[in-house]
Amino acid sequence: MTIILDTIIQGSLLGGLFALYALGLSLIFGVMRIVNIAHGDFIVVIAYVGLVLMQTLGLHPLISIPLVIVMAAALGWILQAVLFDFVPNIDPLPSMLVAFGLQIIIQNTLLLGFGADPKKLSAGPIEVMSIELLPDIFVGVLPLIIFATAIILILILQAIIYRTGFGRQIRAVSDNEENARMIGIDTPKIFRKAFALVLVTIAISGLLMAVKGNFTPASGPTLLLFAFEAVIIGGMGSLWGTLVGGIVIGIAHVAGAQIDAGFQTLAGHAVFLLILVFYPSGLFAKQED
Amino acid sequence: MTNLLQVCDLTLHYGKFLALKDINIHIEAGEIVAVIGANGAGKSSLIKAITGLAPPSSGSVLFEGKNLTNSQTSSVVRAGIAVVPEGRRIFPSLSVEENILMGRDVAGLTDNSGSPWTLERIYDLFPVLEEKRKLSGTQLSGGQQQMIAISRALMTNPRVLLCDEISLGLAPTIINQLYDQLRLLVKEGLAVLIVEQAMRTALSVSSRYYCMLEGQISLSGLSSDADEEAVIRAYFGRSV
Repeated sequence: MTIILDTIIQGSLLGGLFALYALGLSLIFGVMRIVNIAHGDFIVVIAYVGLVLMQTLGLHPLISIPLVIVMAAALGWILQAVLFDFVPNIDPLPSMLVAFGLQIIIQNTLLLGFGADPKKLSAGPIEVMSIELLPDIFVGVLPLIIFATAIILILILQAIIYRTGFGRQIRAVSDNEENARMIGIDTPKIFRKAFALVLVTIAISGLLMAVKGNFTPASGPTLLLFAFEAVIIGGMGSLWGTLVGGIVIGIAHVAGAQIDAGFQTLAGHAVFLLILVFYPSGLFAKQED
Repeated sequence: MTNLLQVCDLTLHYGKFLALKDINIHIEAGEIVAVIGANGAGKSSLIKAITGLAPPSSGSVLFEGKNLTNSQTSSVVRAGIAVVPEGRRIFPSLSVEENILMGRDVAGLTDNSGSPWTLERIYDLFPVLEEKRKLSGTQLSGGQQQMIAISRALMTNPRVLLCDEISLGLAPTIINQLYDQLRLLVKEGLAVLIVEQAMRTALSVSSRYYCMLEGQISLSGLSSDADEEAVIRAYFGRSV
């Protein structure tokens, strides 16, 4: 019994990390219809930014989060303004190809600059601290922080999307971009702000990923896959669904690892396929009219 | 004296196709001006040219003496020209109230901007919208959706309201109700440009009219003086 409960708890906490990877992807696809193949590579770039900040300025990875958020938001704004603004968005293919190109550039630049060796950011003693959540069930402080961060980030994103004028405009653009422009929404500006917001989520998930485990210049596609699975299990357009999707994959990973270490990732993908068979539009898909 | 909104020698091409040729119109505060014409006469192109959705090949759009030619739609709206687009363009993911508030958002206004247009005032104008404010914008009837589109435009706090075919597909009683409300607003100094295929409706609510035919103004004058036969000739390009 304890082992089942432990699997669920540890898996859920791991799912918080997957959800963090996925939140930005959910936003960028839901709003801007950009299939950002380079999403995982952006996360990896942030990890290396954290590495450089730690090596040059001696900044603790968790302390550097605010600074990296600002840098990432600026990067998102610039990417949209100088690159994606010029990509025709009549259908998702052109932007997907641009993102694919970005992915190749990012991976090879990182390889050139940092080599292929796995890196990790050290956060110090907090990494090994744990608390006894229930009798005989210990959870790490770091996974708890990551999970709490995911929940707080979802709350903030929900508030932005459903309670602010900017969020209303995001939803209007996502409904129909042409109509949005026709009534006077400054769609390029909304896209830039939205991309900046996406990069903020990437900044947070990138640093936490780098503290939690190893990364190499080639880690991006794996992260992208986890993110895509979480988004699709949860259903497009539902951020809480994305968290549930992350948790489902997280539990599958931990349960798979109980059976065999090599079964860990495979279990996640198998559960994803199963859910796709029975709920093709995800568990909490936004109702379409 | 400068006109509130003045369109000077406006010509618009879509590729090689000439959509508008040497259009000159103007509108003052406190009047309803009608642009009438058959389908394809260029009425909607005129709205697109004024609001920056279709950049004109030559000519200019002046608003309060400022040149708005080739401005982005968002700048045109912020300057004080709001559009009630053809087909209403209500966003299904947004509630009725959020669709209305969108007007304030696009104009860069907030709760505290001191705009005379508030939700309370909108709900005074169209009480039915308050009852249904939580519903999705597209769950309402056509007439009510038109009320949302007008409300959204008013929330930008405009000096000029451009209404593209607001009577299309609506019952006559609803059309009368909408125009009654617009007439009240015009008394307070709003300028309203209505684009209509429905010739008689347009002439009865407006003080002046322009009739368009094949991208040009074929006739214009005071609506009260309009000679129906002449207007019909200008509308269809021949006697009917």
